[in-house]
Amino acid sequence: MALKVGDKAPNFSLPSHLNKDVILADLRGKTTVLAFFPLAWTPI
Amino acid sequence: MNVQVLGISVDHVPCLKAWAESLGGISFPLLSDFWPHGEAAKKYGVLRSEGHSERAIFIMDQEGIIRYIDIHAIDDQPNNEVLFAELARINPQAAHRAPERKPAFEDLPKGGVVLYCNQWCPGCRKARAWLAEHQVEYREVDVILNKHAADQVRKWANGNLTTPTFDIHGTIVVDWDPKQLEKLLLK
Repeated sequence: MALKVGDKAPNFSLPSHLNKDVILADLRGKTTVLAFFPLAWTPI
Repeated sequence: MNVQVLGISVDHVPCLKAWAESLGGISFPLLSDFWPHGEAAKKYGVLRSEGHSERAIFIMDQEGIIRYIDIHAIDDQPNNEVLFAELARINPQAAHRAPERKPAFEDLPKGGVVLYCNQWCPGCRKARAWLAEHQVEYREVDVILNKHAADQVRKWANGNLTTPTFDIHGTIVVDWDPKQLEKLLLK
């Protein structure tokens, strides 16, 4: 089921390269830009 | 500025660390959606059958409501200008961040030494350092910002958007090749 503008952002908790887990719900109060990208070793 | 940027891919953490290092460090968190594989990408509907995610941008407002969605073809980079405009709309305080951008279809420079590159590839950084060291005058064209440049490089590089690519007085050198540069520029 595709998300639409106006939907609540699904929460997740994931490890990061800065050695800190990030929980999306903890970022309430901030505008958040979530950028999905394919594998890191893709050249562009 | 109250904007949090998160990068997210299905790579595992060591790979993200290595990648961030190769780019000279990335200050915002790169999240590893590695296990369970692509779980977050799945939730956002951007997991491809090959197991990695699409290129996609979601912007959430301060209440955690999705305000902007942009899903891209895999070889298409999201356009920063559009993103900054969206950010400015959702969070006006972020507006002053919008950088100046050149037109996307600028004519390519002819003659002289031209470096086709992008802002982050390690080879491009080496190329700039080399050209500076040897006091070579050159012009730089960003293949991400200039579509003509991307098409031209693909023609030269068998369909690949290889960076850096050099046009040295009409001789094309694809990829970072200091020996070749030496031969063409320091003889």
